Amino acid sequence: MRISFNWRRFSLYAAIIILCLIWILPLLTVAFASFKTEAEIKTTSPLSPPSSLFTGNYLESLTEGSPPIGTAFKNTLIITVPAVAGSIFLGALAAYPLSRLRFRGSVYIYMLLIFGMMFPYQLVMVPLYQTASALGLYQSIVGNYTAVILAHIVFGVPFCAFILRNFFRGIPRSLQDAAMIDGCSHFSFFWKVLLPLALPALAVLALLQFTGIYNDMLWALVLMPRVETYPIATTLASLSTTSGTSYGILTAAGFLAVIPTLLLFVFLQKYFLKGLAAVGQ
Amino acid sequence: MVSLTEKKTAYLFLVLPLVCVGFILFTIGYLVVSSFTSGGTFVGFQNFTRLFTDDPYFWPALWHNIFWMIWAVVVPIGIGLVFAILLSRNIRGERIFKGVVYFPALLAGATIGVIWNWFYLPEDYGVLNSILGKLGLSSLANPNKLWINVPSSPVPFLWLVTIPILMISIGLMVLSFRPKISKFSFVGICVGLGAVFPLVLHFTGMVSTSLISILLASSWAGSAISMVMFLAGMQSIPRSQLEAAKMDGASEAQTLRHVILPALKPIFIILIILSAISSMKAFDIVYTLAGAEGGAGHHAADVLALYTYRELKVGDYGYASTIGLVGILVTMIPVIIYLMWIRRREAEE
Repeated sequence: MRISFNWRRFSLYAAIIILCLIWILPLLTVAFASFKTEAEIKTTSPLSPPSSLFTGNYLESLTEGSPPIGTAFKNTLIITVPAVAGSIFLGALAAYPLSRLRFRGSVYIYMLLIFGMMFPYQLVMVPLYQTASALGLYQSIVGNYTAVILAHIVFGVPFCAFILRNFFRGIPRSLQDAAMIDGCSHFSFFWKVLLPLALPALAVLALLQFTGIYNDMLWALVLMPRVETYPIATTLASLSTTSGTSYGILTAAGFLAVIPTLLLFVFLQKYFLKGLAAVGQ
Repeated sequence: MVSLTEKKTAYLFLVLPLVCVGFILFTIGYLVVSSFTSGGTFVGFQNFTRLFTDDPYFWPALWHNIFWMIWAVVVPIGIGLVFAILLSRNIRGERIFKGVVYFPALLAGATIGVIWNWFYLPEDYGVLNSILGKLGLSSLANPNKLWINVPSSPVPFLWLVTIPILMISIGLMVLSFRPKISKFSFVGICVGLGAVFPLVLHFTGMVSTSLISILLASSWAGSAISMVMFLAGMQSIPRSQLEAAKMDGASEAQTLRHVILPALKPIFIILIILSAISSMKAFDIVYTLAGAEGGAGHHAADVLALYTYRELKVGDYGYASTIGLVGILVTMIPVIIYLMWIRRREAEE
């Protein structure tokens, strides 16, 4: 019986493999193109793998473009690190009382946070643009970065608070009672007990926030008058909308932008999936 | 006394986060005030009258957002569920397959734009044209144009892909919400919403090749979220229920229909709400694929966020605020439904 060919199983695998091939095709062909010379792109089918690993596109995309991809990576880092840290810290501050303390209006504050999480921030670019202008943030390069970082923090806090609230609620109440009897204040309990306990959740959240902020192009587009401070996503968008960019360079830049995410994903896939499942709770 | 300090601590913790949320509320207030101004002076309802009665871009952009919403609550959710059903059966290499489907969800809108731009290029440069050419199906496509820039009704190939996906997605959703539906009305709903509705849109020219191409690209990235959530939902179905179905001699299809799909209904609901909200946020993909004009100058895939951005860039802040405000009001419908749902759930706990 075991030797007999299982058609059901076979067709299941066939369906999965075909669908996954379709799914990976767009990414794969971009990777192919990025390793082809300009002449090869024009003459060969986009489905054929490159004849040799031509790295010229990558080298060129690192230095060409405004700003060059290398600079854009640096800008991304300058924006992402404080924005991720800030939004998670403020989110944790909000999550603590919402999950642990009893006070009037907690349900409403929680709903307000969910409202902030769902809020289509793409539609309020005018107030942000004008607030940053009123604060004089367009005058200097530091101001430019600050504007984008603050925008990410403001719109990131509700999401972080939501995720962390759900996590904090899973930590046993008895732990807190014990700490309180030992004379621990709320703040020291939060700082010395709860946050270290929540490290795995914080790491998952940091991963989600990092990819979110890394991927954002809107705030830089709206809040940064200077092209030289653009992060990677915005640079890529402007490369893509500029006519005359060579496809080799464009695909190489696109693939370079994917690499950090790809590396994180390959090593931390489990945590990404866990984090995503938490969003839907 | 204890409760008093607890209360004080709570508010102390909440000060900074509430400043952030307060700022979000401030932006809405600002938008309301600003939408009654033009160049800094109060103009009453002038912006609104212009928007509703005398603006060639507003209604198409709003319609594209609404069509985006319809699409987003059907297509990515359906594709995600199909992947979840396939991958939930003890597949070898499950991790790799999941990774392949999930990875696009992590990419930036701008990156997705670059990738799919390459996919939709004209002639033989484009991946899609090249594949269709090899299969001898060029006549179904638009081989000489960049797909994203075609303002006319969708080329047959796009419907050939979309209609089956629509029918399967709608079918699964209907079964999940109404497990006892009769065969006749089931087929009716699937064909009506999945095939007749798109064809009506096609012949009235209400959607374009440009818009559907962009929506397919966005679903490529968006389906993973529903896949992961459906997989999590399937895992939480009690094993005993599945085994009982097996004991009763139910086939896999019957188990799917009578046990699994009804159990997934709450996940459907939350995904539908979240997708509806996220469809109003559409900006990055459209901007990167179709440019700031949303479809090479003819606005075939224009959306409200993009239109706001254009008005912002030309410095018409009052009018940009008006567009943004209308968009927010539309988004409020699914947001309020979601908040009511959350509140009921909190009350139950």
